[in-house]
Amino acid sequence: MGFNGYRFIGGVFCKGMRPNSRIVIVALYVLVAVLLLRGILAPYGGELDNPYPLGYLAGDTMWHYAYSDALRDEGSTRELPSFFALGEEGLAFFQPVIFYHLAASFADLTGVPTYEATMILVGFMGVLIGLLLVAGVRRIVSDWAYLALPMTILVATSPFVQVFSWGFHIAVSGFVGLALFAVLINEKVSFKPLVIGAVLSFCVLAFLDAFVYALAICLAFVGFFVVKGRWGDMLKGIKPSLIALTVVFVMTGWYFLVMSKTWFVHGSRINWFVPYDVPWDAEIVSLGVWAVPVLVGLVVSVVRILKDDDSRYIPYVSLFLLSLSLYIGLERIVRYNFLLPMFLAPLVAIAAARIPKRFAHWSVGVAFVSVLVVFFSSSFLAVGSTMMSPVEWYAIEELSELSDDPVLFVAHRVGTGQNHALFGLKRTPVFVEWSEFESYDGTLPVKAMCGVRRGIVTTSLEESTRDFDLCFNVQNRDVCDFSTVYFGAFPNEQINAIQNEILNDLTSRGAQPILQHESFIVLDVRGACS
Amino acid sequence: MRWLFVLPFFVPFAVFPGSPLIAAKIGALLGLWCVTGYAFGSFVLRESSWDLKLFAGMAFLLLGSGIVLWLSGILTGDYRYAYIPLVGLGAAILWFGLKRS
Repeated sequence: MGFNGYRFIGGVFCKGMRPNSRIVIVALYVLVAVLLLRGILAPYGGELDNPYPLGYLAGDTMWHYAYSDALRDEGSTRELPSFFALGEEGLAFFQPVIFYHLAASFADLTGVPTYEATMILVGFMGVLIGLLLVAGVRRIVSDWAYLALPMTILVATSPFVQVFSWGFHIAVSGFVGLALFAVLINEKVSFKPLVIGAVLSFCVLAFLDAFVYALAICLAFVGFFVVKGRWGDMLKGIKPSLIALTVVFVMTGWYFLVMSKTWFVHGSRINWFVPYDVPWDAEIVSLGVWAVPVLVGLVVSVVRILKDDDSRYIPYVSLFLLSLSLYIGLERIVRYNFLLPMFLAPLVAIAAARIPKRFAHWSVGVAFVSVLVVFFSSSFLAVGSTMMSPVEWYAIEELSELSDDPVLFVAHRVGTGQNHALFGLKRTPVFVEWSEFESYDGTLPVKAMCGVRRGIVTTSLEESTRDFDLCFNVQNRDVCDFSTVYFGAFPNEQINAIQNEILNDLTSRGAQPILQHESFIVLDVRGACS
Repeated sequence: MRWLFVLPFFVPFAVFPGSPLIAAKIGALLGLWCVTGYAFGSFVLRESSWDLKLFAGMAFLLLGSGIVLWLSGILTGDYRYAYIPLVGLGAAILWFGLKRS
């Protein structure tokens, strides 16, 4: 009995097991899921129910937590939570809705804090995207697909892990829909137009960009039929496409109506050419040595499409082409690019299928070993990584209990670039704009951090004429316009000196400390202003 | 091979070994999600491979639940009211899907 790849791994489970049997493959999937989740949630150190948010490395993570937790309080997204708009009520909720509902339910059902529910859920979604695409491409390349699984581990490493730790949660939820669309378009599905219509609706309601990317895949199919002169196939697709689009229209009509009054008119996210202030290091080259099989898979796929008329490769080539949109100025595609280890995994599988068939029984065994090698040779976020210290989180929780009024932050350690990290307050954070500060005379140049778009729309879909200028522009405001003022240690001696001046002025006039710690002090200034 | 569906229950224990009680709850949820996802996948993807039925079914149910929760919130004022129909829907999917698989 000679040594072979299957017994090499399969024998671990059961002597005499069939090559690449289902139990071994299930074990491989479970291993990949566990390792990926351990990598993505490395800051948790294997512990749940932590007393403060871990793995939060940018303000957007807190933004998603704040929406999800507000949803648990309010019960619905009929209205935008008032703390996103200086306490104003009756404004339309225009954010994509799916992620927040799932996160709120996950927190309800498992009992973990909402700030952990959002991170765990987005981790599960990321893993699901990778496994779904690999299972999808297995239809074409058989068991070679498993050789793509090791690459998916990269999503838990830098720079890709930013998709979770920097808070691209709604993008990830939309990309679950995009991956599902890319896979199902090739499959024989019962009630296909209805199912595809539902999947496209999921994309719209989870993350609108994902819907546009799904349409780009459809466009690639149309291009293929045109180039190949397969007019009959194209005409056959018109009726199901119309049914699918009708489903989308029915399921998402209300949301499109809200969007037509907010993002479509005034917003920035819908404009993919707007510069996006994150480092552009999530590109094909960020995959390192894995970029080689990806490119080989791309060449093989293009040859198959053009030479063999095989349209099954189109979604996977389209997923590659989407990642190149960065180079034509569509900077916001970077949210997609942070998931490249998942979206390009099918191309690795396609490249692997070029290995001679006589080695096929090695595929699962090699995948097992490669997954372990990649995991143990990768570096993940350190245990405890987060932008919010326990004591700062304690202050935020205490302040959120006291009142709904906006809080004036004279300075906070997270800095002006990540102000929305303070949305956990559930009170609108207002910040001093130090670049416009000249001298203190009882007023300060301030700007509010809001969650409203410039075209503020009420729930009756009428544009609001109310004054939300403070949300977008710096204005000189009296300190006494606020009831609560936060002073925090800041890495700038000049700013700290001015903070002391303001602090002394307010306390001498009768302001009372509410919370005090060596790194911050919070004053109730109503006594000083009456 | 249906006994393999017990495996997802243990995944959270391997990810969060320090919190077994909450991991058990997450495991129960994950196990239910997997088995219902597979049942749904079997229902609509009759000719696909078992793993595609599983993962596609899970993805569809996940996002579909999001829409049901959203609609429940909009229509009734509380998304939690959707838990009851979702359990019923899940049971129906399990019944019909597993019969077909």
